[in-house]
This record gives sequence, C-alpha cells and structure tokens, in this order.
Amino acid sequence: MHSYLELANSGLLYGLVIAGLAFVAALCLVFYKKTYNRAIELGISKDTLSQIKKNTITLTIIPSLSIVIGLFTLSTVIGTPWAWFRLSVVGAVTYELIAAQMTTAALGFAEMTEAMGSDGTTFCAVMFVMSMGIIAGNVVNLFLGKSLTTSMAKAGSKKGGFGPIMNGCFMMALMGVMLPFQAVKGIPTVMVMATSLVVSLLIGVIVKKTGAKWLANFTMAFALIVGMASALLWTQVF
Amino acid sequence: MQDEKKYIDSIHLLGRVGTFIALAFMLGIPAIMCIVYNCWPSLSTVMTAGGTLLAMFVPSAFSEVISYAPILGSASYITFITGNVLNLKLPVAISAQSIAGVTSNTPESDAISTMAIALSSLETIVIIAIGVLVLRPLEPVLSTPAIKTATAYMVPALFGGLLMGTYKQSGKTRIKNKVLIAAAPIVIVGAGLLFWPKLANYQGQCILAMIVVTVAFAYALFKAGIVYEYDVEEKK
Repeated sequence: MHSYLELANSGLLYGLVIAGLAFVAALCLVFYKKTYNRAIELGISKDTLSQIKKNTITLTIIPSLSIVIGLFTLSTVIGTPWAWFRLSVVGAVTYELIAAQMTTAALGFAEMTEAMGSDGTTFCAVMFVMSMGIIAGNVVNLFLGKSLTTSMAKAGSKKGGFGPIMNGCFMMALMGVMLPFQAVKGIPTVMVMATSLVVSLLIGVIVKKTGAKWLANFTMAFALIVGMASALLWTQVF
Repeated sequence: MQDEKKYIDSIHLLGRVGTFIALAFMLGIPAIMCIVYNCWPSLSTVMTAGGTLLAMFVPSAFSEVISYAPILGSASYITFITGNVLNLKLPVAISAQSIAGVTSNTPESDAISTMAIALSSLETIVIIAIGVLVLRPLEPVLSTPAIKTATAYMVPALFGGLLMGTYKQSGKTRIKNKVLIAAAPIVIVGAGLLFWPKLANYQGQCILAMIVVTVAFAYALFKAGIVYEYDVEEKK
C-alpha cells in the first residue's frame, strides 16, 4: 500500500492536475476571445478594451500572490500538486484546510500531521471530500446561471421602469453587507478601508485636474497596494 | 435581436459545457488516483466528512450564485470554476464596468466583465504555476510578518477601493439618489452585528436576505419618486 505522502506528490497526480489546469486555461482563452469580439461588435472601442486589460492585469497581481502564499501552507498538508489544483480551481485556502481537517478527523486522526503519516486511502478520502464540498456553487450555476442572468438583463433593458434600478440593487446589497462586516473587525480594518477609499478618491481628483487618464486604469491596483501597506501602520497605532 | 439571442445561447452553452467538464476533472482526478493506486476510501468516511461540508457550503453556494450571477452575467461560469469571487473576480468586473462606463446587466457589461474575468483567471493560473516552480526559494520572502499582516487586510483594502466604482455613475442614463438604496442593508446589518455579534458567521445568508430587503427598499423609493432613472443629455 502506498503512503499518504507518496500519493500526494506522485507524478500521476502532477500529470492529472496539469491536464485539468490546461483545460481551465483553454476555457478562459475561449471565453476571452469570444467576449473580446463581442465587445467590439457592441461598439466598445479597442482603446477602452486595452485600458480594461491593463487594469485587470495590474489588479490581479496582488490577490494572486496572496493565493500563492496560501499554496505554501496548503502544500505542506496535502502535497504540492493537489494544493496547486485546489487553489487554481474554486478553492480557497481556509476552506481547503477545514475540509482536509474534517476528513482526517472523520477517519479518527487527532491531527493532520498524524494523518500524513498514514496510507494512501486517507489522501484519496481527503481529495474526494475537498472536491465534493466545493462543487455546489458550480452545480447550482450550471442549472440557474442562464435563467438568472438573462432574466435580469431583460428587466434592465426596460427604460424608465424599476428594472434598471433593481439591477443595481445586487451590488448595493453586497456592499451594504460587506462594509459593516468588515467594519466590526476592528479599527485597523476600518482605517485600511478608509485609506483605500481616500487613495481612489485622490486618483480621481488627480486624473480630473491633470487629464492623466492612464492613471485611472490603475486606481484599484494603487488603492489595494496602499491600503494593504497602510495596515502595517494602523495595526501599530490601534 | 436574433444575433443577440444567438450570442447569449452560445456563451451560456460554452459556460455549461465548460462547467460540466471542470466538474468532471474535480471528481475525476481523485477517482483516477483511487483506481490506479487501489486506494478507495470507504463510502461512510467520505459521506461523514463530506456530508457535514455539504451542509455547511450548499446554502452559501446557493446564496453566492443568486447574489453574484446577476452582477457577473455570463462571467459567472468562469468565476465559479476558478473561485476567489469576492477578493478577485467581483473587483475585476466592477472595475472593468467602471472603466467602460456601463451599468450591470447590459450586453456591454456582460461582454467586458467576462473578458476581464477570463483574463484575470488566466493570469492567476499562470502566477500560481510560477509559484509552484519557485515554491521553496520564494517562501521566506512571502512569509515575512510584514507581508502576512498586509495580506490579512487585502479584503478591506479591496472594498475600500471598490466603494468609488460602485457608487460612481458614468453612463448616459443614471439612477437618481442611487446611494440611498444602500442605506437599508448598511443600517440593518450594522445594527444586527452590533446587537448580535454571532451574525458575523452568516455572511452568505446575510447577502441573500439583504438582496430581498434592498430590492424592496429600492422599490419603495422608486414608488415614492425618490429614486428613478434619468437621461443625462435630457437633464442638460
């Protein structure tokens, strides 16, 4: 019988994970190409699309690096290939650690480290449970995604009615919940949010005064970096 | 119109087929490992741990799809396959919509949000792959206390920056007093957290409940003539 760690770092698992990620990357490319062409058809200028691309690329770097940090933690428990797959597809490090811990507990191990010294069956159970628990969102979206988005688009297309207002409600509700949820975490969190907001407002003012429109494309990226960096100050002050 | 319907059908078909194959990979990889190494776990073990997780995550999965799919449009397929919705995909979509000056749930916002999220997902896959290659040498740098502290505050930093993009309106048609709509969820959730701190464990459910409350509140404001859609050109 193969051991937990042998399976967790096996060549076969690396191969399967690379195949899975290659599929997801190809799917992203097809979506990108299709929607880029669609945006052109709808009259959105290439210049605007180029601005969106630059903004997306810069905005994605920092959150992606934080996922890499999660990879370090997770790979020590479930090996590199499965951690790589889980964090690239659906997963988040907190969920993955909880799922792995719950599975090993169900198998009677007090600690994850104890489970890592066991056989390959434990690792296979961990892989199955991690996948089972996280796929619900995709399954629901598979059946409801189209009807949800098309019905909202129909409602929003009726000018002057309640439809366009209702469309904005989803984002308002999300922000309306997220702001108090973040605020109760403590003063440093509030200050980080405020710093980030001030940075985005300042960039808006600079763009307006100087006409440096390119700067507007980096608003979120700057707000994110300065906001995160300010946490080092605010956690010392409060 | 025919062209529009054809596009919608094709993009959703692509999303559904893509999701189905991605699900096959998620469950197929463990299955292949079990077959090759003859390591099948007992059904009872998988169900005991998996059942608890499903009970925990199915309600939040429902609320996530219902809450985010209308904002994301056809990008919801790629978003739910690649994850990191709140900390990455939503900010990217909102930012793209803000740059293009379009509102949610229009064909334009659907196209650019999906384009931006597909690009972002691709970039994340590449960055994580590089992370795997340089895993060990990079670890000491990314594990410093300063980086850990800064990373812990990524979500508030993102939401602080997003406030502008959410409330700023730049299209030809705008919503008068749009910001008022957010008052209901902020006041209710704020009071709820103040008087019942355990509410902090129910973020997903709160978002779902607040969508209903926000729509009802917005409808009341619309009926009272406080919130309405107007044309910027006509106003001038």
